[in-house]
Amino acid sequence: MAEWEGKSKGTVSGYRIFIFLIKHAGINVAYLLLVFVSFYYVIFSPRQTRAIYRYFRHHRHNPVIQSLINTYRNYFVFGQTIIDKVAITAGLEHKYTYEFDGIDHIRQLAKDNSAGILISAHVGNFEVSQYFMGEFDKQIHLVTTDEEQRAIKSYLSSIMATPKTGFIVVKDDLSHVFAINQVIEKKEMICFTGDRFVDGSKTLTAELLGQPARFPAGPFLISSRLSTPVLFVYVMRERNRHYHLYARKAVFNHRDAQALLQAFTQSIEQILAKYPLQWFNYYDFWKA
Amino acid sequence: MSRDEIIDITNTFLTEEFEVESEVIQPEANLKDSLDLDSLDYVDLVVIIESNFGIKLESKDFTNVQTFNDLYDLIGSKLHAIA
Repeated sequence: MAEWEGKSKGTVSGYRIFIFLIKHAGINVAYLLLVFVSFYYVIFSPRQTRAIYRYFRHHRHNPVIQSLINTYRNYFVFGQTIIDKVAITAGLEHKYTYEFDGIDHIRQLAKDNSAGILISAHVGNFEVSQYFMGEFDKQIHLVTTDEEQRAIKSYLSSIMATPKTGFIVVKDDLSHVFAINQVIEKKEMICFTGDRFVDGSKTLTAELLGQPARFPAGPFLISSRLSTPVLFVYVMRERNRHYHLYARKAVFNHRDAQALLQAFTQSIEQILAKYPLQWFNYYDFWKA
Repeated sequence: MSRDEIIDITNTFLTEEFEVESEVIQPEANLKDSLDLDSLDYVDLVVIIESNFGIKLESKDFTNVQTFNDLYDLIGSKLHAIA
């Protein structure tokens, strides 16, 4: 099956272990554990390992040995982003630094008192963005189809004072429809991940890293039809617990979802050119 | 607003927004199947209905909406409520 199957890696018990480690031994010890955890995943998650290896070998054209090494490093960096998310959520944001590239686009939303649609992807660590955007006083609501997110969110909410990122889970009862509309009415920010779809949802096709791939149609159709500014936003991890936030204004004609998708894939390619290790789609993304 | 007017307005924006032929929209046809709606398309649908008719819809309103007739009935009842 080519499409993502609806569950992200990581469970509540996994988060509990990392919270325990971070609290009692520190963030660096949690990172150290990743040396072994990453190796474990390389060996015991063959399907995911194959998918990431293919990404490096066939889409980034790395040599064989480099692709193998980068596959391991990809798991390691992914683990670091999870630890960072947990640590920041637990109130350790002062242990991190950040810089913002494209901050004017977000400021403009605040100045215009406008809602905003953010489209991100499973690259970097978008979920920590809210903690670095305090000055804007606009809550971000992440639309997700990930059922597991609810359990993780519930656990993370229990260890933090004020939940800062809202989650809107797409459900059969259509409650997400009204939640999304409410966010737009309240002039807050709604965030879609534009790179994953689940079975039965509509898709659009565009080229990414030299090969056609399918993307969820919903985020691009909605964003292209509503008269709300659309930004591509990525939060990328750099060395020494430093995060780099990128916001890019999407340029497209009203109602042209395909053009919006194309702009999105081009922006992902630019980000991945700079941060090739931070591609976190652990399935065969390009399989038709 | 009469039911015929509601039907006219609704069918016009549905054909435009969801790019379907007008023949697809039959009173007893299934709304979701005819318009090929997925879960996120309903966001568009609700926004369009609310802006065209000046009404406010809630999640529970859609519980019994299966056909186009159900949708016309829903819009009619909402308009009646604010009249």
